[in-house]
Amino acid sequence: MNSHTSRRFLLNAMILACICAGLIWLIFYQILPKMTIKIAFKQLLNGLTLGLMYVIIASGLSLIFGMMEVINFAHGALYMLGAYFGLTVFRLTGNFGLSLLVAPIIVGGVGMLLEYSTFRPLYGRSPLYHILLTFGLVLVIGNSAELVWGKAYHIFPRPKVLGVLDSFLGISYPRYRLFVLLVGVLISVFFWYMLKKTRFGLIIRAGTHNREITNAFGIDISRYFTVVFGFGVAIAGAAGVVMAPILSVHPHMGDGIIITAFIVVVVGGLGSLSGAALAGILIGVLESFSVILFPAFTGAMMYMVMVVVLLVRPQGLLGIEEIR
Amino acid sequence: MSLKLLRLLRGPERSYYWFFLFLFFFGLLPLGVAVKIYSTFYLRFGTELLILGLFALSVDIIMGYTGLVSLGPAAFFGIGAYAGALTLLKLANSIWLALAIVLILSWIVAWLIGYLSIRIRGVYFAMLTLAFAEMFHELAFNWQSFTGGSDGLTGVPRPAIGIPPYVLSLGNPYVFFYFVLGVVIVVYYACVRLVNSPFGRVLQAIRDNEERAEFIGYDVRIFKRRSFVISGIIGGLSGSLFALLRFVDPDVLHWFTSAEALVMNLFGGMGTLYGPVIGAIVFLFSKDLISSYTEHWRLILGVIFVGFVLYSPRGIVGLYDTFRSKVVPALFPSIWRRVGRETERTTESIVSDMSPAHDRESSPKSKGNLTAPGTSADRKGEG
Repeated sequence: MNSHTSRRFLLNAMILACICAGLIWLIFYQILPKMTIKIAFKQLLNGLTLGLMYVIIASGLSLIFGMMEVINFAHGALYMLGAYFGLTVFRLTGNFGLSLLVAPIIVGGVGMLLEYSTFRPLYGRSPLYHILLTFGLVLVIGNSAELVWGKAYHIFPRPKVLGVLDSFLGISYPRYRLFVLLVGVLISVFFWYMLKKTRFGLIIRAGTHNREITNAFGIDISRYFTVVFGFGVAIAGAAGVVMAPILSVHPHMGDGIIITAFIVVVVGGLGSLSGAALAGILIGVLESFSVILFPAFTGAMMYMVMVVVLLVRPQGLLGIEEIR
Repeated sequence: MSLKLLRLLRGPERSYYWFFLFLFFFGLLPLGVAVKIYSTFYLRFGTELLILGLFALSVDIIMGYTGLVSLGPAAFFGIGAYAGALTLLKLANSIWLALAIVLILSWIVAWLIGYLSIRIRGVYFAMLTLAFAEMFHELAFNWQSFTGGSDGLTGVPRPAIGIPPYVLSLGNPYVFFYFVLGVVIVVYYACVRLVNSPFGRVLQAIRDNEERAEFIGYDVRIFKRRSFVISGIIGGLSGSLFALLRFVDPDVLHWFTSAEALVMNLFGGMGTLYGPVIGAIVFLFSKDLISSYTEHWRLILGVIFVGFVLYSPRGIVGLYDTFRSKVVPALFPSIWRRVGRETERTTESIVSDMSPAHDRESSPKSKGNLTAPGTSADRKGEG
C-alpha cells in the first residue's frame, strides 16, 4: 500500500465516520421521537409502492439508455399519456383491467412511431441531440394532451373492489396501494424474466453490451431498437395507469417524475437494472419517510441521495462500468 | 494604433466582430418606441432578450467551447437573481454592490459545484449539475423567510447609476436597456478574446479530444473547472440583471430554465458565441409571437424545435452557413469565386462540425460519456 492509497483510505474512513455520526444523531434525536411502529410500517408500505413505480419507470429508461444510448426526456410525457389513455378506456368501458392492458399498448405504439420517425435519423450523433429532441417531444406531447383532454385535473375513480381499506396487523391500509405494490412486483418480475430468460432478452443484453459484435453475429440490432423503445415506454404507460387513481390525471403529471426516474437510473448505475430496482426502492422509501420526518426536505431528499452516491461511488450503486 | 486595429480585425477573431454590428442595430430598438411605432412593452421585451441571450452565452462557454453538457446552468442564473434582489432589498440600493456580491457568490458556488462534479464525466456530470440546481430550487422554495418561498421576491428597488449630479435610474426602461446592452457588449467582447486566447484554445482542445489534451500535459480538470466558473459567473450576472427587470421566484431555478438555455444554444448554433444570443432572441421572439396567436404555442414551438434538431442541427447559424456554402454558389457562381476559399475555411472552423459521420461506435470511449457536439476529431484547426 503506497502513501496515496493509504491517504485515500484515511479520507474514506473519515467520511464514513462522519456519516455514521450523522446517522446516529438522526436516529436518536430526530427519527425515534416521531415514530411509532405503526407509522413506520405504513410509511414503509407507502415507500415501497412509490419506489416500485419509480423502479418500473426507471427500468424502461435504463433499458432504452443501455440499448441505444438515448436519454429519453419524453419518458415522463409518455407516462402521462398512459394515464390519459387509461382514463379514456376506463370511461368508455368501466373496466379497469382492460384499461391497464390497452393503455400501455397504445403508448407503446406511440413510442414506436416516435422512435421510427424522429429518433432514428439521430443515431450516431452526439447524445445531446437526443436530449434536445426529447425535450421538444415533451412540449409536443404535453400540449397535444392538453388539446385533446383539456387542462383540467381529472379524477380517476378507483375500481370498486380495490377501493376499500384492508386491516391487518392492527393498521388499516388502502387495498388499492397493495394492488399497486402487486402490479409493480409483477411488472418487475416480467421485465426480469424477459430480459434474462428469453432469447429476445438475450439479444437485447448482447446489443447493450456490444453493438458491433452483436451485428457481427448476424443480428441486425437496429431493428430491435423500435421494439425496445416501444416496450420501455409501454411499461411507463402502465405505471401511469396504475398511479392515476392515487394521483390525479393532468398534463403536467410527467414533468416531475422524469427527473426522479433519471436520478434512480443514475444512482443505481447506468444500464444496471438491479441497480435501478435498488435505487428506486431506496429513494421511494426515503422519500415517504421524510414526508413524516423532515417535510421541508422531501423534495431535496433524492438530490441529496444522488449527490452523495455519485461523489462516493461515481458509477452508481451497482454500476460496474469504470468512470474516470 | 490603426495598424493594431487592422491586425485585430484580420486576426482569428474577425468572424466574431460582425455581431457588434448586429448589437448596434439592436441598440436602435428604443428609437421605435420613441417615435411610437410600438409600445414600451417591446423595450422591456428587448431587454429580456438581451439578458437571456447573455445567459445562453454563458452556457455556450461550458457546452460549446469546453464540451461539457451541464444541465444545471439555472443554478447560477437563479443564484444571481436571488443574490441581486436580496442585496438590493435588504443591504443597500446600489447596483455595483449587488453586482459585486453576485459575481463573488456565483464564483464561489460555481467553483464548489465544479470542484465536486467535474470529477465525473458524461451523463453523470450532467445529472450531478442538475441535482445541484434542483437543490437550490428546493432551497429557494422552502426557505420562506429569506427567499419568499413560492411567492418569490417582489418590489426589488431599481438602483441608480452615475456620479451624483448626473444620475440615471435603472427604473427607466431606456436607461436599463442600454445598461444591459453595454453589459452584453462587454461580456461578448471578453468572451471573444477568451475563446481565442491560449486558455480558450486549451478548452477547445479538451472539447475536441480530452485524452490528447491530457497527453500534451494540460491538467484537464483544472481547465474544465475554470471554464465552469467563468460560465457560472456570466450566468450569475445575467440572473441579477433579470432580477432587476422582473420579479424573482423559484422558477428561475427550475430545470426548465436550464433546458431553455440549452434550447437557445441549439436554436442559434452553439460554439459560436453569437449563435446562442441569436438563438435566445429568435426563441423568445417566436415564443411570444406564437403565444399571442394561440394558447397552444408549446405544440408549435415543439414541432419547430424537433424539426431543427432533425434537419438543421447546427441551428440558425448553421442555416446561414448552408445558405452561404450551398445556395449562394449555386445561384451566383461568379460572386462565390471571388469571395473564394477563405470564407469557406473560416465558417468551417468556427461552426462546430456535427456531421453524422461522427460515430461513437468506433471511438473507444466508455458508455455514458455525454459530450457536446463538435467533438469529432476532423475539425480543421484555425489559422
